[in-house]
Amino acid sequence: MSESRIEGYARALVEIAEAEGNLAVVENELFRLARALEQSENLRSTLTDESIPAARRQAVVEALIGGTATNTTTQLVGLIIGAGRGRDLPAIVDKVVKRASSAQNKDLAEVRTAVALTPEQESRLAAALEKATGKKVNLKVVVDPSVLGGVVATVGDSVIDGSVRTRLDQVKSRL
Amino acid sequence: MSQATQEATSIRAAIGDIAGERNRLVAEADQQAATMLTEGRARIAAEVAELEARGDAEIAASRSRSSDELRGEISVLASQAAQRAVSASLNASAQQELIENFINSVGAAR
Repeated sequence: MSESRIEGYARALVEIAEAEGNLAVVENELFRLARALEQSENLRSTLTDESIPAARRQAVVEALIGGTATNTTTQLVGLIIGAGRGRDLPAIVDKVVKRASSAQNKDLAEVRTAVALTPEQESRLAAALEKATGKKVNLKVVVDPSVLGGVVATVGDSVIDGSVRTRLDQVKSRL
Repeated sequence: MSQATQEATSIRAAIGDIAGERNRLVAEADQQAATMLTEGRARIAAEVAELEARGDAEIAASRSRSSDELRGEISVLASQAAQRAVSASLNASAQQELIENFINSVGAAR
């Protein structure tokens, strides 16, 4: 899908979520779903398989997130899947998150860790990143086992890499 | 000094701070990795010795193959051994320690 079309979808999603008064919640739920989609080949292939009727794929979305996400998020994801744009969902969601962050005058801080952070750790990490960058951040945590241990934080163009994966890669290159 | 010049000076100073801070964090992370590797060193030493023995045997058996190729294979095996040793030492407590160290390091950045 073209960049302008992705932008168009993102803009529409943000406006709908704002109209529903739950942009912060919706963008968070969309972000988690998009990362799950990236990490699961099964889920990705099911939601993007054009040979599966759109209604069936929308039903999969409903079954997957219907019980845990807001109705707005479920409806928006169903809309994208139904329009045959499931493959572009992560890119659309990334734009949504950036737009939502801008709307709150925050920078997106994408954090990858090998294990989940507690809400208290997320709060302290957000505060630490805000102190280090001098900017308000919209923290998004992705549990990514390939990190192995530690944390990789990306705020704008700055990457703070404290991951075991990177240290091991450095050892590997020295070997 | 014009406002634009002042802003440019301020931006250059901030970039310098970020670069310096990144270098400090990378140095600290290096120190953590070194500590972790020390803990698994005994295990690695045994595995590396075994790999070296296997490498020696393979070298003897495959003289026609280039030494570069063999060195590459040995380094891959050694790095795999290192990854296994480090992964085995990353229990829940070590994971939490790495996360806490990162948060504290970043929080102390300015």
